[in-house]
Amino acid sequence: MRILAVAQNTFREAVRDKVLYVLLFFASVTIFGSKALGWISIGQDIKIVKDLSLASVSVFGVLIAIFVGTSLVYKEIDKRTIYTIICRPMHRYELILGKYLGLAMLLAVVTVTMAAVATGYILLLGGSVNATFYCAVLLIYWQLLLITAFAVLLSSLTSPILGAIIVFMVFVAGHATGIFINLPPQFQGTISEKVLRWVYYILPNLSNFDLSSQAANSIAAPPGFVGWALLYGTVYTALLLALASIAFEDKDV
Amino acid sequence: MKRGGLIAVVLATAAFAVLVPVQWRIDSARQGGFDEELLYLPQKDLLKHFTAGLSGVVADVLWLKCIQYTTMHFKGDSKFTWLYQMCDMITTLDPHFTDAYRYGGIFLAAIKADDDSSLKLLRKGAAQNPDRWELPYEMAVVYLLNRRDEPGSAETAAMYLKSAVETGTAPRNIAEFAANLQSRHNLNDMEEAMWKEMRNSKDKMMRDLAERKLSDIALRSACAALTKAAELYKTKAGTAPAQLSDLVSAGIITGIPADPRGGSFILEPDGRVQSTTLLDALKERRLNQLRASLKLYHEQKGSWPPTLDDLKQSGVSGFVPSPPYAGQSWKYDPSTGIIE
Repeated sequence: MRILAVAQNTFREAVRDKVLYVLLFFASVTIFGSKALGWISIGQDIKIVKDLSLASVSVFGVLIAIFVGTSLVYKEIDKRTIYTIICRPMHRYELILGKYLGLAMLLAVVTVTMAAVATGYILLLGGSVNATFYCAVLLIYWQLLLITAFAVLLSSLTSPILGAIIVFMVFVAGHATGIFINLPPQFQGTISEKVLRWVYYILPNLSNFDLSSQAANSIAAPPGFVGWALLYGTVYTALLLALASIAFEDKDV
Repeated sequence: MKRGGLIAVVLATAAFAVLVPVQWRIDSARQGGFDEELLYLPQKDLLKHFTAGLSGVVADVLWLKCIQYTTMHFKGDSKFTWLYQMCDMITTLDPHFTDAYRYGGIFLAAIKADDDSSLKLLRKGAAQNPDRWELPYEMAVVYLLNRRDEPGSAETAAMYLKSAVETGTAPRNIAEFAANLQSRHNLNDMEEAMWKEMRNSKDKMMRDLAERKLSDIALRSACAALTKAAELYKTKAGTAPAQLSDLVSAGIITGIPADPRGGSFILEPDGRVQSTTLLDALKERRLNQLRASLKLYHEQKGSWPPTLDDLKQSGVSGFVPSPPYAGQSWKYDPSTGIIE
């Protein structure tokens, strides 16, 4: 119950944030403006609209997760409002989980809104949307949950600006993890190969949540892919939230 | 308007009065630099990892650049040095972007005349997207158009067309084209195997078409067997048979096969045996072809051609097909354009 109360408060607070509406506005402009690119693409307008819609959900979702997530706990400490919370009969981890849940709810609303706008626009343009498109949206949301957990962890460890930079770097690196495993032949059998293989498994592999090529080209997702990706995201997110709770538990506020 | 607003408008106007000509200068300085821009793109395998999950969008942007590049060189020096690399990069970023393989393959084969690169790109696409008929179809077209003088090209094209039809998604005309090509190059066995497979298609239309084509093959085989029997009759009797029943009377065949589609077999003056079912279908196709040419002539000239030969002379049609039945001619009315 206490977690839910914190979540509701966090959600209400985030909804009032003007940055959210600015980001949503730019996401909508990107989705609606994508048709213009389609005009010169030799019949690829619907594909481009789908690609840009999914990219908007991902990029603007990540921006919201980073900007709001990295300041979630830090703001409470900075404004000293944390004392009014932790003096109440609640565990610190409940605060972390509540804050996370509130932001996850906000991201769910944002993702569903953007997906609905994209669907309406694609249908209006005479295209069709199949199940793979929604699977891609679901995976993007799962990726946002993971990024948010990372942002919450950093929010309880460092300042929002530094946290935002680190989370953004993790976002970029998370999509480039394949580079650590597909090494040139000269790396074979070296220590570097082993180290980089470990890096591959330690970093969050965000390409696991990328189904945009199949969605934009209306191709079915590989069997089992979505289920395994959801499991991967759930376990990784749970780990990050546990680490965030431990870090905040030990934090001297 | 308030004083502040007025100052802002004046400042913006002054700034853009400078910015626009400066932009012109930058654009003219950059002209011809488009190719160099492509040179500095990272290696395709590296680029895929650094798109932060936006490889589809990057592929779309590169596709637009590719169209620009092709158009620019098509109107200019007709050198498409980076076309294959661009298409390769786009399809590495988005392996399911079928139209990038397809149009890239067409650009390479038809505009650059680089059929090797075109086939390489199309093969890559077919491997990634085995369910798409367009890619083996385009490979067949490359073999038929760019490599037509190469020995065995028609057979290779027929093989690719068979693959296209086997996807079960190819339009009906592609399936017919595949069958025609095969029969033209005496590839009956391959054709029969293809249609037998097509008989198991999930699509009813394709199944019906397969049944029809298998029936055509059976009729063609029967015609070939009867023609051989007529040749044997001529060798034995010293004269050509007057009618098909002579073959039965002479004991060369036990009976004249029945046509399940209601037609009959006829003996042509040159000794060949033909099926009226097949000849009627061929006549209809040729008539349709002629009607389309007549319509085009009428649209261009505003009147019907005085004779059918005028279709050829005016360049509307490459040739005027004759009726498939020996001794027949088209009934053409130049006042109405009606042909029968």
